[in-house]
Amino acid sequence: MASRAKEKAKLRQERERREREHATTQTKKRKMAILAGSVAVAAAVVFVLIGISQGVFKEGRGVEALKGIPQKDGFLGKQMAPVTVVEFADLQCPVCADFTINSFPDIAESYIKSGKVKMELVLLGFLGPDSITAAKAALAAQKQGFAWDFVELFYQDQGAENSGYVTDDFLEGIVEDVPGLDQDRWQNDRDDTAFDAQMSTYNARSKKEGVDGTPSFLFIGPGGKKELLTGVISPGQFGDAVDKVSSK
Amino acid sequence: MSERKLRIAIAVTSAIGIAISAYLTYIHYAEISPICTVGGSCEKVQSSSYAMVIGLPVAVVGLGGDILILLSALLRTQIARYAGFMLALIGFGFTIYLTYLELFVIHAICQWCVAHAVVITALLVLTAIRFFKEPQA
Repeated sequence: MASRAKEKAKLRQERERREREHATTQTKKRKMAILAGSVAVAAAVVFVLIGISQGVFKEGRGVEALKGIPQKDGFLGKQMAPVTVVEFADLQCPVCADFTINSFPDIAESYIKSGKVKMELVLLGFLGPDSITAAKAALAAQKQGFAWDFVELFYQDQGAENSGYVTDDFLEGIVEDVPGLDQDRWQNDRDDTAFDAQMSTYNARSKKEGVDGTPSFLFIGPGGKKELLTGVISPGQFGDAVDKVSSK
Repeated sequence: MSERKLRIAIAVTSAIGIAISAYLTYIHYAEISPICTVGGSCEKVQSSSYAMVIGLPVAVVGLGGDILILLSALLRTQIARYAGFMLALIGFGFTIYLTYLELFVIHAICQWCVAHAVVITALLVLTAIRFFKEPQA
């Protein structure tokens, strides 16, 4: 009897040991599955974040030179930048497009992103009615903080002066390529009557500063020292003017 | 390490992460240069086009993550343990990407980013131990 009881106890212990081992193995398997699943989910989230930050999921072309630079009320760059450069431009002006496409990316990298300079955009409409239509479309984009994106993309697609290319379809094609811009809001804002007054103010300001062509760049130093340059300027000329107005 | 000690360690480490992220968020919005012992590298990294993600400064995203990990340490549920681990895992993955950018794309190292990378690595280890450890009766 005693030996049978011992045998039973031994068998029970063996069964319990096997059950414990099985449970431990199952727990390990479950943990490994959770770990693998978690790593997969985390990797997916990280890839999506990287994709978003690199513009992979953004619609449209976007503007590389403007990435990471704050924009507000037509100003581009950090508000506390010591030097302000006011760019007087006409969206139909091919020389303005030349500057923006060829010189601006280096200027943005060296002076604006570093916080040395902030730029202000003043749009003029002296080349014809299409310039005014385009400028108002840019001002509507400016209300959402995308004036510089709009202008950059406009220049990339710029047509011949007063050839009638500045149609609604053309402008809508531009805003479609501005990542983050609310197109419905932009469409509604285009009819804002305040833009007429704003264009008049811009025009008066250009006359006051002696602007007689586009693009013109008014450099204003921290002490109020001014320098006006007109035409396509190189990043080097831009830097020289910044140094000049910054000097005491 | 007991559950209580792990929670305290996670809370303290995430608080350090919050302090770093909050400082970088402050200097972003105040438009000032970060205190940097390696000549100008922090500013170069902070002003690079990679300093923004989902339309927000990276520091703000990091701050949000650190706060959530801290909150997970305050709760004792299994969901909180898992959430803390997942957040730290995602943060760690994104930190690897950001460190790669610093080394091979921006060619500048920001000491604040390195400090936060150390914090998030420590948080990953702590939250993983907390989640995978058998809960004590």
